[in-house]
Amino acid sequence: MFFIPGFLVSIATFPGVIVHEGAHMLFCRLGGLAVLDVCFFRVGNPSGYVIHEETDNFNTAFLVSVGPLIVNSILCVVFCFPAFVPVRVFGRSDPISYVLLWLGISIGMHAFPSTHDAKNVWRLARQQVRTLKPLVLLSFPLVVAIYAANILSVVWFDYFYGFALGILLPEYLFQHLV
Amino acid sequence: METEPSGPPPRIEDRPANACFRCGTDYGSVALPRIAGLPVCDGCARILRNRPFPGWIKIAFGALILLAVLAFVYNQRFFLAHVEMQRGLRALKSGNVERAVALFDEAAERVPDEPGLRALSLYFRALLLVGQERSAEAIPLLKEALAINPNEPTIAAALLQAEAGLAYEQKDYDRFLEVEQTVAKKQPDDPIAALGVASAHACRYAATGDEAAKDLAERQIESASKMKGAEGPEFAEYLDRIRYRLETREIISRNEYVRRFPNGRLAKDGG
Repeated sequence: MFFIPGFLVSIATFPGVIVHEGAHMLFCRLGGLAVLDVCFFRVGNPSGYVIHEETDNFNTAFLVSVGPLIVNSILCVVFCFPAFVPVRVFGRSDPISYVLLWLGISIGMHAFPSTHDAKNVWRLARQQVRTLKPLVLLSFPLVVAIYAANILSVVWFDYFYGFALGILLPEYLFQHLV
Repeated sequence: METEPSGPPPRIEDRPANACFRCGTDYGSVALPRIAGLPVCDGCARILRNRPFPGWIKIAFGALILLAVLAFVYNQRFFLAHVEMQRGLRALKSGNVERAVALFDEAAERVPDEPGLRALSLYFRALLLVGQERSAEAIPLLKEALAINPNEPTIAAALLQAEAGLAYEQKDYDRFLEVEQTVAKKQPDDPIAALGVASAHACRYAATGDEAAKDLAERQIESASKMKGAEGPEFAEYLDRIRYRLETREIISRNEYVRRFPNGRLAKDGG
């Protein structure tokens, strides 16, 4: 394991940052929340952001916060899938496949919401825990997972997540479902 | 990479209280609705609540999805070949070699520019032919597979086995012995390879009645039986066939042997 400054990782995987912010914005739009400002990518910390109005609707807040986990994960599979068999199984080295793998894994790497997003979910979940709604209950372990993922990103957990989702998952499905 | 629910408000400067924070229009005494504490006119509120994605994002996203779809269509033959390979391996595991060979053949035909796949297909088709006592047909296939993968020891070993099989089928037992001795030299720790030499000696004895060949077969059986891994059912079955040959001086193929003694010779004879 070796350390690479976050801004360099963000630059190398910028499509993932753009999709991450796009996912936040998409769920803001779907939930009817006003988006006051958005930055899809910049060299800095944070490397992107979406400023939106608050909501008391837990479902909307939950989806806005964990939107990237859903959208980035799906797009990671979508982009890696066409390339993984030619590259991984047949060892082909065509540039388009490599671009798709880079794109897919970059997007997968940025699937986990930030701890800031997790805090929003945590705050609302605590307020609504007595409702015992499944989504509220689900959000507690999810927040823990988001925190863990953010901490483990120093040991490349985000990369392994992208790799597992984009390469290992299709491989597993091919071996067991075909 | 984070969302800021009503985070730091955009700068309002010294605008009047009822000036829209986004477009700056001053509505005078009309109180504007507020979003995140900021006065917003109806038009701007509609835009903010349905903020469009920038054109470059839409175009880039559409283009990349199109690229992924085209790549999938272009690479479809690899996917289908991989599916056939997986199914072939599963058929192989379940002992259905014929089905496996058919699937490997289909996979190889789908990706003709992938020589490794063709070598795999040739190798298993050759194994099937050797099992059917058609070693002469298997040899050219294995030679082609070996030309593709010259450093693959399993193909080289299979080629020797096929050559041994051919000599056996042609009743050329001297050549059969010669090849089996080569196999045993290459795999000195393999009890089955050691039994191959015994099998060849047993054939020579059965064909000629030469007692020396019988002695050599017995000695070879003895040393093979002491080797590690000589306890398995495959070893026992092979040994049983050689013993039958030595006892009866009748040389029959493995298929014929299995047909006559489906449960093993000793079992049929009541132990």
